[in-house]
Amino acid sequence: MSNWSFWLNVLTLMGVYSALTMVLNVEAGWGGMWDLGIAGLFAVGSYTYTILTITGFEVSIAPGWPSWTGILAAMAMTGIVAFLVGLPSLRARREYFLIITFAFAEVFRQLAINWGDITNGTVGFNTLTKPLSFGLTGDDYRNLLLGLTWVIVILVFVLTRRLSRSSYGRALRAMRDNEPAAVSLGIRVSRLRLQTFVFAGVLMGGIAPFYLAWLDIVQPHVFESQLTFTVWTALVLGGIGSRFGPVMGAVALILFTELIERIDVPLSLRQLLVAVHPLAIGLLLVLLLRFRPQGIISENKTFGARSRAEISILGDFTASFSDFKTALGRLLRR
Amino acid sequence: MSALLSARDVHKAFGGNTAVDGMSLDLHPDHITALIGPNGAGKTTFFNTVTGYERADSGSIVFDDKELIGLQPWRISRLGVVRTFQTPVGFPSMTVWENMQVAGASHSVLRNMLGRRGKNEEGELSARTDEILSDLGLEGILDTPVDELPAGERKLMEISRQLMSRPRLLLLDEPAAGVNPSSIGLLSNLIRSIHQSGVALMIIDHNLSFVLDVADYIHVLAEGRLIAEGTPDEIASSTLVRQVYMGVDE
Repeated sequence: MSNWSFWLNVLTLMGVYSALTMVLNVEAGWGGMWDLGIAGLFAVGSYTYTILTITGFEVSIAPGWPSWTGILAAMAMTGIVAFLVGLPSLRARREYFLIITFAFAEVFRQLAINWGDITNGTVGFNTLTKPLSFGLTGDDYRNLLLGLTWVIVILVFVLTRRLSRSSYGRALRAMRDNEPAAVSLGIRVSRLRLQTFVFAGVLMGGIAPFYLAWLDIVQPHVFESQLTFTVWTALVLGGIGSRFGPVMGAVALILFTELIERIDVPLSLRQLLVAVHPLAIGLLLVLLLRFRPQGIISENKTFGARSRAEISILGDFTASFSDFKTALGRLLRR
Repeated sequence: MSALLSARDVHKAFGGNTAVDGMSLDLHPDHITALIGPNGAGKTTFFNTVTGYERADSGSIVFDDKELIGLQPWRISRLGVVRTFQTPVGFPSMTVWENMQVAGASHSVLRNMLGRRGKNEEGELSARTDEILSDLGLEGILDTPVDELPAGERKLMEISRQLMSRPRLLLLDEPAAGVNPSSIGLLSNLIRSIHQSGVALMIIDHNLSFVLDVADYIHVLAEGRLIAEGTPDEIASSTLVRQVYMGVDE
């Protein structure tokens, strides 16, 4: 694999995970909703997009829609499913909510395996319709996809940053910090939670087609819990509840894991390297929680005094990042 | 003189324990009303039933011609019945300013995303925050995270934060607990000025001298029942109250 095509792949994947991590940050970081069902909602978006846009496959529904309507339909469908999943599960809190969402994700994966008429079972689909390809194919499309992915990252960033500084964002964090006190101020917690869950679902549904374009395949095993845990690891690494942290975390994590994959080992040790992969991520998390439990960028530095002032994105970034630089300096001087 | 809040025969039991046992009272907006009683008398449970955090088993609580029993707490808060909590933790990850901004704004994701909430609403919230905090002499702590505040200031912050939602009736659950004795005077002044600004007040507290000083009318609760009511002078001189509340045998 040439150098550029390696980096093209890595950078695109970084973009997809950055966007997903920012979405998780809204519901889990600010809203305190520990969602372990990301892979499930992502699967709903992925299959909706694929089934509606694919051509040349023998499944019972395949209208062959253009990709942009497929994206919109994926967003709508994921939102609807998030609403239906959210209605019963959002009554639970913390680890109970986590278990329910985890179970739902597994249900969706099993549905994908067993509902062969529609999902093509474990074989799934390949040669997908590329989202927003404008007629490009091959390497040209992969270059475009990189651009598209990072446009989405910027869109999601601007949107979540705006929300974090709004009264909606404050209500979310208030609800997470102290639910009875939030209620005493007239916050309708059940509605706020459901709204947030659906909002996150819609965004995940919109991100899914671009991940599929990178992967070029849809199969049930893509939506195993590892996808969920990768997003969570990126969030913890970057800093739960911060504005820039999710992107930093996703970029750092994907870089780390892809570089491990790239280590040149003899074929006989290849298996071992695959096994080292989760071990290395675990080690990374342990080191992080030992030396920097709040993640690369902390929530405190993200909000604090700057919540009151109009501040540019650049100023926001340097200020958010300042205490990480000092912490890093202190660590290195030891 | 008509009552703003009237409770009639309110019962609330937890399993076999009766916490509130047929309580009836009228709250008049031109009094600062206090509810006192020994530990476990049912004071906080009564607050909880008024604000919807616990649902009363039977009885009726009417605020401004509306029945409160059966309503969700957020709905009761939006009707103007707002409470504080015994241990004010606030929203610890947020600064004082952010805490103050939580109330009184739209929480809809769509409205906030599309920016329909004009600068006016934002500006009005900010101005109100400044006004309330400067009345208390707390302008200096705007950017302090709430979990770094001393207990007394946190208490004052919580009361001011609840004022942001423009309550018509404010229920204060042990406002003097944990407050430095030298700040009690400040607290009493704050409570009086809130009342003068037109907010009806009801206070629960253990600190009898504080209650006798600040309240105009006092209800005494023991074992879930009201045993006496009257002006501070009447209450202070009542032998029954002294027996039940202060454990004085005469």
